[in-house]
Amino acid sequence: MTILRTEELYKHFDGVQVARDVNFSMEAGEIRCLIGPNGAGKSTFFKLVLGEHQPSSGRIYFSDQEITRLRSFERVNQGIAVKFQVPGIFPDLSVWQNMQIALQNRLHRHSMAGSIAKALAFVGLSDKAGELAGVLSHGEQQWLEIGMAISTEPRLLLLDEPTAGMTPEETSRTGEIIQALNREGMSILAVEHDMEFVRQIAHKVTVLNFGEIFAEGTINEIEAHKEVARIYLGTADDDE
Amino acid sequence: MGMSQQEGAGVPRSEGRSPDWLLLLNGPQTLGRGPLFWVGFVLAVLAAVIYPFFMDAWSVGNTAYFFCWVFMALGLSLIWGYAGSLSFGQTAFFGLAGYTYGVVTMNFGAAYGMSLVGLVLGVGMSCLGALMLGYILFYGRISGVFLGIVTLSTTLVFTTFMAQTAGSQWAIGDARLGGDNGMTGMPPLTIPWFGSDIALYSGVPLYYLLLAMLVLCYLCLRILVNSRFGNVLVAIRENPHRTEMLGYDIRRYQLIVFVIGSGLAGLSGVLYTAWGQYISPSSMDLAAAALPIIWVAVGGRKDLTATLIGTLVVLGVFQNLTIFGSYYAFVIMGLLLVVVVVFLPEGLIPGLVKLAGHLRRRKGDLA
Repeated sequence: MTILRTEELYKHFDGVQVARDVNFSMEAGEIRCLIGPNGAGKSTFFKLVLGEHQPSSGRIYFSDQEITRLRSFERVNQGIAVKFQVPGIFPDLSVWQNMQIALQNRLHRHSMAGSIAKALAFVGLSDKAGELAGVLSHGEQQWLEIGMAISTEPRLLLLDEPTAGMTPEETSRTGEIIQALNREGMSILAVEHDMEFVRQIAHKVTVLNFGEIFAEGTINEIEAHKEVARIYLGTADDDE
Repeated sequence: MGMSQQEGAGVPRSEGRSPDWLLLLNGPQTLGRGPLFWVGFVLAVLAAVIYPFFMDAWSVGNTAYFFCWVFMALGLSLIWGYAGSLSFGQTAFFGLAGYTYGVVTMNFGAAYGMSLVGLVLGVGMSCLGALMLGYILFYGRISGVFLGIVTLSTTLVFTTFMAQTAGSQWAIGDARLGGDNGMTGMPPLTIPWFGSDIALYSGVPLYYLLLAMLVLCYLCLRILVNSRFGNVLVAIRENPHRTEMLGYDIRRYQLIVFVIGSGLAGLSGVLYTAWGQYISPSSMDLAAAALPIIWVAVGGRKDLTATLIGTLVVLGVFQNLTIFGSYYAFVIMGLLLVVVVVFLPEGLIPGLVKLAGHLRRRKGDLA
């Protein structure tokens, strides 16, 4: 079953085309990574899927339901969640309160404590529940945000550079979290620059360039693609 | 995972054991919590109850006058401190409600509960005005400093309009709007009673009514800010983008809280008008519009208790300054705002609480 599909998606700002004829499709249960050089349109594509930008033309489908005109919060309530590149948490509130706000839409207060504890254990923050979210390390803030995002019980999780600024250990732990979520049936779409990390998690990779889908395939196919290597991976010249 | 490991500032200690209302009164969105705070609260209320027995009539009436304003401050704390939307225009709703009360009671009198009808209609008008303005603001994605500019502009337009209503053509029924001189002569709040109605002129009965309303309003707001609704307000203040991406329609929440807070400003307007039997454009103008910001910012906008205490203290200080220093009082108030914003951006009371906690920890470390 297709979880996310776009049809002839275009977006332009003041004449500058940032997404052109994007026909994207990913299956439920997939981990897909979006890669591409800076300015390729990855963030714009995310914002179009999230409803933060309205497309100039084209359509977006989530589980075969058209969501093109839905507002962001409505898309979240349909089953899409996001983790931003810069941790989107509530820094002056405790880790517990952060999770409470994420969960309270779906749970009664009396069953909340158990669910918060479970979610915090999943992202490895059980012993930080009483601390202010703003004082957590960068990696912990990223995990807290993942915990908050998955509390909405999404079917599709968007991750915008989930390992940005992380240590190698934190990156590896983040990969494990993502793979564990995927094993539970969650589809993942991630923008990522760290090719090592992409190799660790991706079932398929989509390469964007100048707002268009440039190539698509497994990580091995993408790494073997000479044009991709030339525009993005920077290895073609070495081979020649 | 044991609850004892989690206990901290933002982790509920007694989840599942205490009744809902108690948890909501004591929730993390309010600074004062625990038995010591509530003992202090009861003592403060008792002190307020016996206050008229020891003070002269003028002081009691003056304190009642201070109480009139606190509702507007609590409403602004809700809109600005809790939900993060700085409204510079709360006096517009104050004035709208005051004039509405005047129009109703000057046309229909105060008998048969008409003054209470005037109160309800006054608050209702301010809520309706806030609903219309708020819809444009929040659904038009106006935020930050622009929200302050638009709300202040609206207030100044309304003030200017009311100031030019001096002619006899500016009357609604028997109620002359009065232009710059304002509207005067409306009856006070009057409680229907067996035999004869009780007119609450500035005095002890009005003081007790306002005290009871204030305590009730404060407790209800504590429950509101610690509820799920309050959690979302605080989340919007902290990170509106994230809040929306957790599935909340943040504009709806912002609009609702703007209406509630402006309704409280309207309540202040009615009570002020009924207390002094007078309302004029000067109670809404630029200087008047700035004062609630100062009360709330100086006390501590992110907490209801800090706002309540701060407002009463600043009102008292301001009144004394105006007696002795006339318009210099405004200069000093402005200076006070600047000093607090620069050195204690969270406000005086949260600043003092933080300092006390710091000193206690230091003492603990040394011991």
